[in-house]
Amino acid sequence: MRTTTPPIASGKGPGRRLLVLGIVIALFGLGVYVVLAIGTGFLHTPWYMPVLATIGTCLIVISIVRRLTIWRIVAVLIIGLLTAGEWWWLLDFSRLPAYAGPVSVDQPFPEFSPASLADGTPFTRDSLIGEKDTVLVFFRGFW
Amino acid sequence: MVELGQLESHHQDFAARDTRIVAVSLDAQEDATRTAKKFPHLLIVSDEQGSISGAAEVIGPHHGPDGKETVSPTTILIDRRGQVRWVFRPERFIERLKPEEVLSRVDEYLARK
Repeated sequence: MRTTTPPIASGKGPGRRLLVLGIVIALFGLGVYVVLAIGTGFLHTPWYMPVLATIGTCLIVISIVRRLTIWRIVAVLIIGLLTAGEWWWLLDFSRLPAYAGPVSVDQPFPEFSPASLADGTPFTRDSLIGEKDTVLVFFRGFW
Repeated sequence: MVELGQLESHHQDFAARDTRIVAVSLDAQEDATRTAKKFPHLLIVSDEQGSISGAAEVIGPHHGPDGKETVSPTTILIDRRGQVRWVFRPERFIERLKPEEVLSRVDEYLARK
């Protein structure tokens, strides 16, 4: 008895535009974020990034429904992983716990042992008292 | 350090409100010195031992790209008598307050005085 296996076609064919569009859309969101965050310093929550990646993944899946190829499967795996990674990064990894430390409104800033200003001058809690109000910004460092 | 650049560019707005910006990180002294050269209107503090950050409990949970501990972005408004007037932490470490938002909080505090 003769058996046949469904052919796995080459990259060209029905749905190819969807495949390309899906990849472009998925990468576009990432590109926009990189340009905005690194290029212009606009730090924000890029919800558009995983949303666009999800749309891109869906388009690639539709292209696979139209025609099954190795390259489309590879593409959906890569873009799907990118999409999952972007959702995880945004919904879990980048989240900060709500502040629960000892700094409270209408209370003095907690006592601390001296740190130093850039010129080496000691910086103590008394340095917070003076002729000006202070906006104390904790930032993540020089890197 | 993007936020420091944005705050630096608004230093006159803060000065007009008799308010100064003190930026604290776990950087070593030499890094703080380099940062201070880039942002001459901000007071840069090297908190290498984590004394201020530890007292405020803002260290972690994330680490820097070098694997070392770092602080969670946190902004605190302290009046000239050393009393805390406002504490802000973003929901994600990728978010920062815009200088206009900080100025708005300063204005709110000044209006209540």
